Amino acid sequence: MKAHIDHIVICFLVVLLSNNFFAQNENIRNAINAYQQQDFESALKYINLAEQHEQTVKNPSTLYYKGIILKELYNLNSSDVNSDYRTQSIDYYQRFLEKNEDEKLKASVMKSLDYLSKTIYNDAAKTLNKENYQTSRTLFNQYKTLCEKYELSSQLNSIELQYKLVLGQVYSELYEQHRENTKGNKFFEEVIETYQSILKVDSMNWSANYNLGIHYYNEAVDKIKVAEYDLDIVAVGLIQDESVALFQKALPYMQRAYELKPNRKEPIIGLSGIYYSLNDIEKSESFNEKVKQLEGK
Amino acid sequence: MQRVFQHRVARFFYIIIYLVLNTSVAPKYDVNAKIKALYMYNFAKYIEWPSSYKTGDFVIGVVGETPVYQNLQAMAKVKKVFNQSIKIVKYSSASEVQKCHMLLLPTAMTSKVSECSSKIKASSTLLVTEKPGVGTRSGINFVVVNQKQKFELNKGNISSHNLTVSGNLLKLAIVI
Repeated sequence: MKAHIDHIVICFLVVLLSNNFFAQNENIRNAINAYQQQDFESALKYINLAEQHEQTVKNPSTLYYKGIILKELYNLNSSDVNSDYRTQSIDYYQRFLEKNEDEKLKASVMKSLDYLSKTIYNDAAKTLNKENYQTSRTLFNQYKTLCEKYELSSQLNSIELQYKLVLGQVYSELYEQHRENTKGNKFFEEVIETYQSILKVDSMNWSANYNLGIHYYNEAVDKIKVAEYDLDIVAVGLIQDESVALFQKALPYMQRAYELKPNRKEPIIGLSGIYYSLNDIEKSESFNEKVKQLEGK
Repeated sequence: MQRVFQHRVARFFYIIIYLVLNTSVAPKYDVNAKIKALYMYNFAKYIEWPSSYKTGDFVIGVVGETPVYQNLQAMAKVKKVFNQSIKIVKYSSASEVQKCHMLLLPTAMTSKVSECSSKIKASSTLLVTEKPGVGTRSGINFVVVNQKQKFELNKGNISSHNLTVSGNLLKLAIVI
């Protein structure tokens, strides 16, 4: 009698578990159907149900499907640079890659990650301005991390240099805007740090050399330019010291920019100004002559 | 079933960030001229003129062309020497020089130093020059030391014009 009862219990459990298992597969099926009909909200709801269950959560394809559904939800509102759907999609894809062994699926996910990384880069580029530079930096770092982790771009280094050159200009504009207030110093240093980081990788980068030279040069000029006429004589000596130190800092960068592109007028004008301000009138004049030659005068 | 989910990835390109050359070079600005003007205002404060020179305008004469002139003009618009308004007078030649408190003889006009000295011989005028070696013939001479504008001060020449130099100015000057 007892054996008969046990058998009934086991049969009942098997039926119960089987129903549950099929219910979970049903959730995935429903998610796929909703996805095919481009009803991504419903697809998400079903895949969330599947994800909550022990049997399907262990299945890497649940992560794969969820990544794809989230990506489509992101695509519906891709103008949102802070999209949670995109962040989550990437997260699910990454978790999938950790568990998956199917090369075909892996290739598909890598393409999606590549696509999403490019959307992040593009948003970083779009927000690279005075108002949104912090968002831009965060996005660019996300892009960089993804590229490095999955080797998504063979041109990451040059892309990063290009990004930083523009970032340096944004900081430069922010410095001009805030030079009179407490934020000024921070942006002054950010400009230097940004261009220095480029030169660390590519010391022959013309734009970074020139822009850093100009940054120091303009600051040196402004120190004197804004000085009040009743400045005490001791203070006159001090601001002159500061100004000369900045001109001296500008010099090697401007010199390198000139050496890299000897026919570009801007560094020659810059060098003429620097030497004049450092009271080396002879050298300043020689660069003035070079400008005239370039202008065909 | 999986194929449904594959490759819904449109071709997607990077937005090109256009790099604009940082052309915000400060317009050519003569820092040395401004520094000289700043020093000259301090000379006016740290040198004492006889009482007969303490009324009317404080006149700074400039012989010939120099970028310092524009800075002195700007200074005259906003500053006074104690109670005296500052007046900047440009002389096209040394022969035109008249009574003034300070007389700036720019580098290009250094050859006129003797003529200028003669013109101001009897007056309390501080002669300011800006060429190496001329300090022995003027009151103050701008010189370049370690890429910076400094000034030589000829105490004897200044005293001979009945001018008194403050100790603070002497401390910062290259006394000759």
